[in-house]
Amino acid sequence: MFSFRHLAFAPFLKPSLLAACVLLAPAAFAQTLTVYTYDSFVSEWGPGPQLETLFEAQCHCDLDFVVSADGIAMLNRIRLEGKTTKADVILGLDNLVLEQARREHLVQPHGVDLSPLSAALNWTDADFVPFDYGYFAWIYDTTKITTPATSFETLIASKARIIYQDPRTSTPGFGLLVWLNKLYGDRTPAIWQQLARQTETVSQGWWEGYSLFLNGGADYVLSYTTSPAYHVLAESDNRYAAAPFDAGHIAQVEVGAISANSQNVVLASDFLTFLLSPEAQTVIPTTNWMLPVIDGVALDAAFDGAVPTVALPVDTLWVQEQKNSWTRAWRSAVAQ
Amino acid sequence: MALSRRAVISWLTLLPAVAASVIAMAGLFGARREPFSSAFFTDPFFVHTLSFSLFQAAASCLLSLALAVPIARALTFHPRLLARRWFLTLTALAFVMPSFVLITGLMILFGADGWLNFGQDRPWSLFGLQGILLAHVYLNMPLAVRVMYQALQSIPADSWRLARQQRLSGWQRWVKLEWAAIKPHMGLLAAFIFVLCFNSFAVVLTLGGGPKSTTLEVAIYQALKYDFNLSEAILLSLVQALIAGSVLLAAGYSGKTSLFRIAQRHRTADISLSPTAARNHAAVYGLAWVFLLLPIIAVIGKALGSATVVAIAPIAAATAQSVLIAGTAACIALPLGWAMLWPLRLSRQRHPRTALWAEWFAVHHMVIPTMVIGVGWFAFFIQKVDINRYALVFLITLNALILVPFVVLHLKPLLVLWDQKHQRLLGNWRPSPWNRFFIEWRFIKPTLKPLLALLLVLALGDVPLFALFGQSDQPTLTWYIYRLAGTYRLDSAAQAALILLALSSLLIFWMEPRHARSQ
Amino acid sequence: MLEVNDVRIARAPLDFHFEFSLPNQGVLLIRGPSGEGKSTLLDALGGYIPIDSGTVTWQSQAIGQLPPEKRPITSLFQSHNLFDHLTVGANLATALPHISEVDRKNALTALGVDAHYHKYPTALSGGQRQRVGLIAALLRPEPLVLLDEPFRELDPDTRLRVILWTLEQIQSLGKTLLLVSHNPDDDLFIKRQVTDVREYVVRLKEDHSGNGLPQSG
Repeated sequence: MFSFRHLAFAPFLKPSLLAACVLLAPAAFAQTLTVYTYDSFVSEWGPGPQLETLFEAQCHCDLDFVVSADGIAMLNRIRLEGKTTKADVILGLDNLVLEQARREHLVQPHGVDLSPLSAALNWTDADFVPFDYGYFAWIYDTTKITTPATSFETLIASKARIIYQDPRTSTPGFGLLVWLNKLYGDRTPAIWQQLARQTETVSQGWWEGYSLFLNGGADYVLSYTTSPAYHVLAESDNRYAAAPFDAGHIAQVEVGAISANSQNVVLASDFLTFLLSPEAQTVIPTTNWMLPVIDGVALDAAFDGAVPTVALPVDTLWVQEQKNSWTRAWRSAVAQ
Repeated sequence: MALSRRAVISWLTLLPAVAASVIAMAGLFGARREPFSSAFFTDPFFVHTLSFSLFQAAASCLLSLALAVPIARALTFHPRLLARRWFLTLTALAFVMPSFVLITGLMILFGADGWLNFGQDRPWSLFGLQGILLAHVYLNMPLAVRVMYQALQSIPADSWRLARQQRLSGWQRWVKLEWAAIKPHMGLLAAFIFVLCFNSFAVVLTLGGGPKSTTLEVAIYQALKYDFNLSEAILLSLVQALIAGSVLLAAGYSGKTSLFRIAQRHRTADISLSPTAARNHAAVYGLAWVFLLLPIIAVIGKALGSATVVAIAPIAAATAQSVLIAGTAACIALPLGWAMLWPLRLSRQRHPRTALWAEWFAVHHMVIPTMVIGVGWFAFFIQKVDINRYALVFLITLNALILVPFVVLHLKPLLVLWDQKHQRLLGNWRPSPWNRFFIEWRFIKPTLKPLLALLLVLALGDVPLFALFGQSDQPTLTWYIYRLAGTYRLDSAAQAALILLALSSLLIFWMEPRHARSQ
Repeated sequence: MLEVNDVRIARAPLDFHFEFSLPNQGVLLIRGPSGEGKSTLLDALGGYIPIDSGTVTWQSQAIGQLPPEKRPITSLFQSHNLFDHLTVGANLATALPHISEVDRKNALTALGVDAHYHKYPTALSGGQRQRVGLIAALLRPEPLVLLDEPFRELDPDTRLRVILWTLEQIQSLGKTLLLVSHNPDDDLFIKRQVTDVREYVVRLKEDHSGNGLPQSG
């Protein structure tokens, strides 16, 4: 597997090797790859620092992160910068918003060989390369709930208190919006109304809701199937679990892309290819708390429950077209 | 009216504030893609949002004022209250409490394992209108207490004695003395609290509990960030600024109130106090202590109760960064706000209408959401300069601009009074401009310490500006707390929040009149 | 020569009318019942309230529309003649930058308040404050001096001493003095010391209070 990846790298390595060996002035002539990403990706606990070291060791280039508060802020920044953007790589959009970037011509085809991707992802996009993913799920405390919900119907029937995030301001919240519409179509507003009766609060962001849940504020909180792994590995606490739904889960797939204005297309493509390498993918699960996008990465047993038996495919264009009407339907269903 | 050269120069002092808004608007107009659409205003959801914004602000304001009255009276009338000075310090701290800390405290208290959890059937939830009101009362009632207490303290001892001599009943005394002393301050105080609650963001967003309880400020945030619909954001902030601005402006007429000052010395009012009344005052006082202290204790308990200890080095660096930004911003805001009062003071007597405009320009940043200014600047400069390189310059400049209205509100009553008293003397003695400046500086200097502390604590809590301009490798303390919380490290976040709280407390303690002088 | 010609000031509900003249280095005693415009007259001359019609001239120059700091006039008001947050010394340094510190201290000694040089006005008695304010007003360079009841708070002994010093300064500095006084003894004393003293009695021209009818003209 590793040798295969190495082959894929070889053609792209040449220019930078030339710069290093022939010109003998690597510092002055080394290329800089500017990567736009979000804050927690490059935080001291995020994957950014390790990935930077790994990639710089093989590209002989300088990796420069330009950081926005979150993925949406990054997208807005690139929109505002227009043609003046310095971004080579845009890292951290996801399958639920990527169509906006494509529609506004902010990205260009990546040319990366996607064959290493896990078949489960079923990913063939020409503009966006996945680097991690996670399924949305309801997290609960196993010491308090012995028979968790297995569907939205059983969740509603249990009358358990829930917390989810605002679909307008939070990725998991938006994920729930897509999830429900995927499962229930036109019947979704009725489900929203039923959920509203047992909703403790709709929080603005992921962590506000999640911290409230950890403080005992509700029975279930909307998060990722990978969340319990954090508590096991970082806190040695195996109380928390994700409730597996029989009808299936949808995933947030985080992606990277090459900026439409990049002058560094080859190096950018190198970097996206590097992200699919086993060494990069090994870093991600315990730093970004998401799943690796290639097969064969050794994962701690804590991640065992993170891949659901049924994964629901998400049509990104369909999401893009419907999201405003879904949001309005949610708003009026719960504001009653 | 021919404008004198002095008047023209004086209006130039408003330039920084006005230019900042023009830049922001230019940025937003330049970057917007959608046409303006009035359809938005007829959307039932907009109507709902607007009416909820107004309702929650009015309710928060009324509740804060109503609850402050008995507390201010207890402070004034009870001769022996334990730690009265400390209580006043606590009120200052509560007013500037970073909303993150307060919300964390409330969530711990009302959470399922919290001390104030009322059992499984949950007759009361923290989320929704009640949660918003609770937090707003926590933040603003203390300010009302301070202003009312200050007003009651200003009633001369002779008046109390006279009331006693004339055998005024409690009600008569309230009407003739107490309410008469408080009333002149009510206009500005109510307007100020209303505007703070009307523009409230984090509290509504976190405790609102969903789209049912949403405000204009939240809608602006969503339009700016998630819909990237700048036209809608411009229209919404126009509505917001118009409403908040007219409320503040209407109160400006009666603005003789120093909002942030407190007397050096306590004087207990000389009234006959029945044992029952004394007990009631003591009880009100005790309850107020509990109310203000509980969320703080909850945060402390949570932070100390955790097994993990947050790493000190990054916290120290973040604290230093916070102090650098907040400190520089406060030091810039101070002279700026002082200078911006100049046109108002020149025109106040002869041209009250002109003075009103001058005041409006000086404080208008208070009614425009910080995010609107921030995003506008970001949009304006992003293609022109390397924003990341000058991140610190942007952060300090914008934070300073946000603080200017507080400087203006603090200094205006002082300097208006000063002008009334000394304008003729200055006309008489004709000191040079430099001398004039120096005399005035000597006059306002003793009042600047509390103001400076207030500005620092306010700037420490900044999130929206850092989110736009901040450098991720040099986070401020508040940003670092959000980052900890955003990456599952909730215990560490609580500990870092405790450090922010301690820093704020230190500043507030430093700003309050010396404790040794109490009693 | 100070000439006040047909000056009218409407301060609803009152209308004031003033008319008089005073030669250079003359002394004018302004008298009249309280509340009938003595302070209004001084404020108008000082430039602190606008006049509605008429002219004020000094040495044939119209001064009635000048801002206070451009008029050849110094006033001593009934209160607020010192900055409370500056010491007596700092106050005098602000008011009298054109004379030396020694001269300022000498003036304080002459009026018996030299011991208070480093004190703040709030620590002084009303009479002491009045004396410091008087020094500041009299020793200013402007030729016209308006004093509004300057001896009111002084005890009888100090009073004569201060009046004498005042008249001495007026004569040696060549000042023209307008003085509002309520005390007939003071007036008598001044008349005895100065040969050419004029008097001007201020009376209300009209009283519109409570009349409620629209004014004609």
